[in-house]
Amino acid sequence: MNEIPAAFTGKRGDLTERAGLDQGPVPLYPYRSQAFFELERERVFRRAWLMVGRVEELADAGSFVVRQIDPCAVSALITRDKEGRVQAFHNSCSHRGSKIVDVAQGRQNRFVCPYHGWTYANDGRLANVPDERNFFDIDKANCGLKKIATEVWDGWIFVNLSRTPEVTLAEFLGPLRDHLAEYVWLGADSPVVFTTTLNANWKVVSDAFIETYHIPFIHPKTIGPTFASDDNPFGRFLTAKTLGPHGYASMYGNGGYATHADHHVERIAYQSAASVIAAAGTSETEQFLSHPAINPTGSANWSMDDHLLFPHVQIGNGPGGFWTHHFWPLTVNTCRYEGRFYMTKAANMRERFQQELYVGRVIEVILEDLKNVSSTQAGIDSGGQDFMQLQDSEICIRHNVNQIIRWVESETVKEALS
Amino acid sequence: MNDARSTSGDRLPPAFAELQGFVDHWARATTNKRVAARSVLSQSDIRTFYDAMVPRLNEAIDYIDSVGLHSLTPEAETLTRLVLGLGQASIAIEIHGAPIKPGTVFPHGIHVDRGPVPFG
Repeated sequence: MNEIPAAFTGKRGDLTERAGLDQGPVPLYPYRSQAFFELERERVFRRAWLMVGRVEELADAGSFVVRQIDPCAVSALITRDKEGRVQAFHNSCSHRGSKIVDVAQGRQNRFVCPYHGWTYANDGRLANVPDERNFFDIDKANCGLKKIATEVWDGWIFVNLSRTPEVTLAEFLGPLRDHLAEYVWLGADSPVVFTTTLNANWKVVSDAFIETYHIPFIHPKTIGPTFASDDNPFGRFLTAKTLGPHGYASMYGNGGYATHADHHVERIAYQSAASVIAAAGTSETEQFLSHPAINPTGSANWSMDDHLLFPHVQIGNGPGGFWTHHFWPLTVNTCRYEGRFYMTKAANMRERFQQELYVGRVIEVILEDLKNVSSTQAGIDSGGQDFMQLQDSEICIRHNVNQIIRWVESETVKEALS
Repeated sequence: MNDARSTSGDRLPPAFAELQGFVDHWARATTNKRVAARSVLSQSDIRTFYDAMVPRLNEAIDYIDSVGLHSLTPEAETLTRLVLGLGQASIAIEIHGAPIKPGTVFPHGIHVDRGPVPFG
């Protein structure tokens, strides 16, 4: 395909130009301004459709999960009722506003507020009010749990905190829907979940996951050798494109990577797999890998793809499966990271041991990024620089910041999406 | 480190009895505990465990699979947790050349809320 740069060391690539993005310096105020952060909360996180999980987490009627929408201080109680409907509610009692459910997930048909025992069905209806006769004719039909706009696309649950969302989820996803249509969500029912809190603006962390320019420097031993080679020493992208506010990048992999002879454990664990960033393979893997969004240039030197789901989620995939990163803003310079690495349940110890090495390596990679993002934020906060100089393979950073600024400056979502 | 006694009472299958001395420290039930087990030891203690385990690794995996990963006997379960501990030990030996990534501290705040099944 014509999207593969002729060489990875010669003249500048043209991904940014092809995407129609400007090529100038990009401002740093969105990463440190308190005023910008407040607008981001209101105009991005209260107006965008936010992906909060998959339907497999709500496998049966009565299943529920609680998700914290940190930037808006919203606790979302997401249930599946007996009709099979998935719906998010504010986790807040109609009596005096108290939080009702205090566990992360479970299975129950009724929720009882611990404060005064108001009881709700899992479809949100108010079912029981203790000593109801001492109230003043409360309208129980209107005192159910307050709904949060909820839509499901291909198994992904989205919520929207606007009382009446301006656009549908389909309109919001736009061309990303076609890009990922009929994707095989391999191992969707069994994610490995990592969380940590970071001393950095959420975009500093998000940016660290959407460029591979840093990999030889920050991850020289963990994943550096698999992402770069003499042919592509700085890990330039295979390709990248914007899709409305979303986008994707396909990342280079070192096809010549070989496990070091002394790495006995890695050799034994991965003797049946091609890459150290893959989890165990299954018969479905071939079908998964055949999707056009996976390794879209068909490169022999491919490591992974990253699909940007505006504003704060990335869906990544490698040769063995997919994962998600959530970057939840807490304050202007702190955030909560949540990684979900979906892998098929191990059928035997050989697969389980490979997963153990995979998970172990992921923790080390996150740790390397964690250390780096706090010093990046400290440098940004110092005010010594007002702009970033971004290269062609940092296109996803440029696009994401551009879009955030656009949403912050737009009066309506339709305008932001236009 | 390589003492044959075990305070936990977890026993390995007889064929792997020479590894018993590593059980208390390394045969942990969760990823978080295995990360901690590796992160608090010296590199030479990690090396001792690694060198003892590597020659038996394929055999141990085959033994566990002969019992069945999802229908483990108590002894096979102990061996499973010990082999998973080797996964963490290998990060010190094969990646960092040190118990933790040089320049970082432990605890590091990355928490595995849910790991792979079993013993994630």
